[in-house]
Amino acid sequence: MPERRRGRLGERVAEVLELPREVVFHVPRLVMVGNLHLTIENHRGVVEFGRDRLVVGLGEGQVTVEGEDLAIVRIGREEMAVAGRISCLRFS
Amino acid sequence: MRLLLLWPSGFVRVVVSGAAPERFVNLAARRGIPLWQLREEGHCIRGVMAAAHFLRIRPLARRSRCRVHVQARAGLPFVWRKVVRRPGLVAGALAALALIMTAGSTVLFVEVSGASAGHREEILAVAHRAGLRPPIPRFLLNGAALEEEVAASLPYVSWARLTFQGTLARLEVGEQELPPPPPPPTGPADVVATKPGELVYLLPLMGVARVQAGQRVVAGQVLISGVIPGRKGGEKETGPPRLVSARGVCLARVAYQAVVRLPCHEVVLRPTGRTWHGWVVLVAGKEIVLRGKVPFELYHTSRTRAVLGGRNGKPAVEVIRTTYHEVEPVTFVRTPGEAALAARDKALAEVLSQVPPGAEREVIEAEVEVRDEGATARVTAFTIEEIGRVMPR
Repeated sequence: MPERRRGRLGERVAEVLELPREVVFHVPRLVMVGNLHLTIENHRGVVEFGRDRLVVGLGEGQVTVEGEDLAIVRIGREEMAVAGRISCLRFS
Repeated sequence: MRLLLLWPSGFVRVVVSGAAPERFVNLAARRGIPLWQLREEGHCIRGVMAAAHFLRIRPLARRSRCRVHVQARAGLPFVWRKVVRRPGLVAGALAALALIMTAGSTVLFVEVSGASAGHREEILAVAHRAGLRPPIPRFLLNGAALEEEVAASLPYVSWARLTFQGTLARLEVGEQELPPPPPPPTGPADVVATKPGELVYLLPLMGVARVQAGQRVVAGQVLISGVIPGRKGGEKETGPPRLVSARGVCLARVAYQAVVRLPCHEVVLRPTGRTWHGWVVLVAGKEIVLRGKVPFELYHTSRTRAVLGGRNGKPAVEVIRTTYHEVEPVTFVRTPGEAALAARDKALAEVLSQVPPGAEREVIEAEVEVRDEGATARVTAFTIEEIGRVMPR
């Protein structure tokens, strides 16, 4: 079955069964608390890390976090927590 | 908070330097080695990792072409390693701790509160006799027994409570405030006998005598009545009675008696002077016997309790020390004559303790019956005393 059709089928199943998308498609899940704390689940590692810029690899593409005094509070196999004054979040 | 949880197993602060420290971070995360508090500082990344994981990162560092330096170590394993190298320090710390605990749990000062100034010295003297003699370790004090002793020994003390505040033992007492004597009844009243006896003198000051001198009366019997029959016009004509509050002097001969039997062969338990301590710890309702097998066959016991912690009156840990005083049976052998004398003296002492302090002692009669197996003494003391009491009708 082509990849595109399989994706559409999975999307319909998730919609009918009301399943969380990040579980079904294994897509990243980002949770922000104000502009001070960001949790990223299902990440693919750190691409670039600086005090004012953090680039995190995702399944498809990357997310760039910009701000001041950024720090990775914890990084594990699938989950990462970022703290600092976050000013911008950009997907590419 | 995370570092606090890591402290028991230990953690290290590391500095990752090299061409791409991010690659090292990713490799570590993928291998299940979590990193905390990562910050970029001048082409390096500083962070924290568990001490147990540090030995696993060498291949990762080689693969990512990074160098990992340990900046600081912290946690229990590192502290323990330092402590083990300095036994003198450990011994000193333990000795200091023991000294602080001993000094902190020793009573050095005693304070009495709640008592009038004139009674404080006497209360302190009783407490001193009961064992409150500073300096004394707190666990050796039997607080409940001391409180009972103080309350029982001093008539003006109704209750006593012993509390501790550091090295200060505070003995709080409540002095009895006796109510004022009730005023003599103003309404109709009789004079009644408070105890049985033979009336020797009766003088009614108000009311009508119901008994005569020489008559035997029982307790509760009316001696002088407060009801005066009425008269009219000087003639002996009975009208409505008049009620008065009876008054008068009612002296009676009262007998007090005591009977004592003493055998010629008597077995008593005499302390040998040897003692043994048993320790029991009560934790959450469970009794843990630390030392419990008593080496004596016959003994008397006394208990001391120490309470540690707890709330709402329930102690968390209770340590009970039971002191066993060994006793031995000793047979006293007396001749019948000695038994008679001892029985008479004992009976006399018992009788005299019954006589009220204001009574006039008239005569004391002693009757001793001597047999081969022992003696029986019967001592009777006769007193002349006031037995009348005004009772409202």
